[in-house]
Amino acid sequence: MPTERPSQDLNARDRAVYEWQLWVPGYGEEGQRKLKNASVLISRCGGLGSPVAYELAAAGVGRLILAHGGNLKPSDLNRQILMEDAWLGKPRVECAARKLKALKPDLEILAVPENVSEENAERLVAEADLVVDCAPLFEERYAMNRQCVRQRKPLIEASMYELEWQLTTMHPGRTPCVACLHPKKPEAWKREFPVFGAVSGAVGCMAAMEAIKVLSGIGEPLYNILLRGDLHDMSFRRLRIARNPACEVCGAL
Amino acid sequence: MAKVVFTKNLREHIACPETSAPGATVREVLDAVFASNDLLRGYVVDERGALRQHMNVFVDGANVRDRVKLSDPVETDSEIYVMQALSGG
Ligand SMILES: [Zn+2]
Repeated sequence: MPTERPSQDLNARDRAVYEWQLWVPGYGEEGQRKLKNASVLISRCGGLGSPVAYELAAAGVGRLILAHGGNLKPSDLNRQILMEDAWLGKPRVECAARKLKALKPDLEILAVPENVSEENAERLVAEADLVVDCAPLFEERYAMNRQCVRQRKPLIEASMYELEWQLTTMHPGRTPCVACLHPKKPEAWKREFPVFGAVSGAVGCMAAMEAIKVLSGIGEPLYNILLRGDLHDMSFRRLRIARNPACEVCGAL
Repeated sequence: MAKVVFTKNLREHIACPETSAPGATVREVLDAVFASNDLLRGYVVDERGALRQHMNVFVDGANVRDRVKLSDPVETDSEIYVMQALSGG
């Protein structure tokens, strides 16, 4: 269970800050209250995770758990939009937390200076109502997936390579899990990959919108749909995906 | 002839331009494509001809059901879309 937080109602300041999104049909104060009382884990605040965290903070999610190891390098600055040049050489996750706090001083942040691994995934997922997976390594994604399935937490899977990207929203038992979809990682996958910030930013914003939809109950999340795009020619595909009954991770659900 | 499309990141590893090939099942169409491209065959399917674990194939937007025999039916105007997982963050 996430760290116990007393349920909070909206206050006058919330009504002022979120006025324009409260107008979204079907969302309203009830949707906003759900966001305010939600905890979201974001696995890495890099190219994808930075805009996810920023948009969720902007939308009024009450608590963010940020897992991101390492110190800021110059090559992070083309896409990791929560970072700043003056922070080079210092822990990335602290810079991300500072930037988010500047936008939303009331936001609760659990800043974890580690990437998700087999060792910490159980504890980190337990802190959250929903997880957004923005990790660059398949090992991190598989560790996160196993815990989301075990703890029955929704998982938004966003990933990219060059100008290509994919996005889906997983719900244990209702949709495929990461292992249903990709039982093994590609042989040729490399840790470092070509990326423009505009690509990771576009996908990150869509992933944040999926999180807002799942938490507030509006719209139709990408359940059993893998949305895939290529910004070379702006082509989008909605691919139908299904659970694997023999999946080693979620097959028993 | 069914259209066969490979994602761009696959095309960077292996020569696999968009193509068309005859066949009534995924197996028949892909075999026709692989006939002149052993490298691609080895990347997409294993020695038994089953889809490799990191690959996904869709027929007209739906994930194939039979990953082992690739027996899912294909129409003459179908599109077979071949992709592998991405993990960039
Ligand atoms: Zn599964």
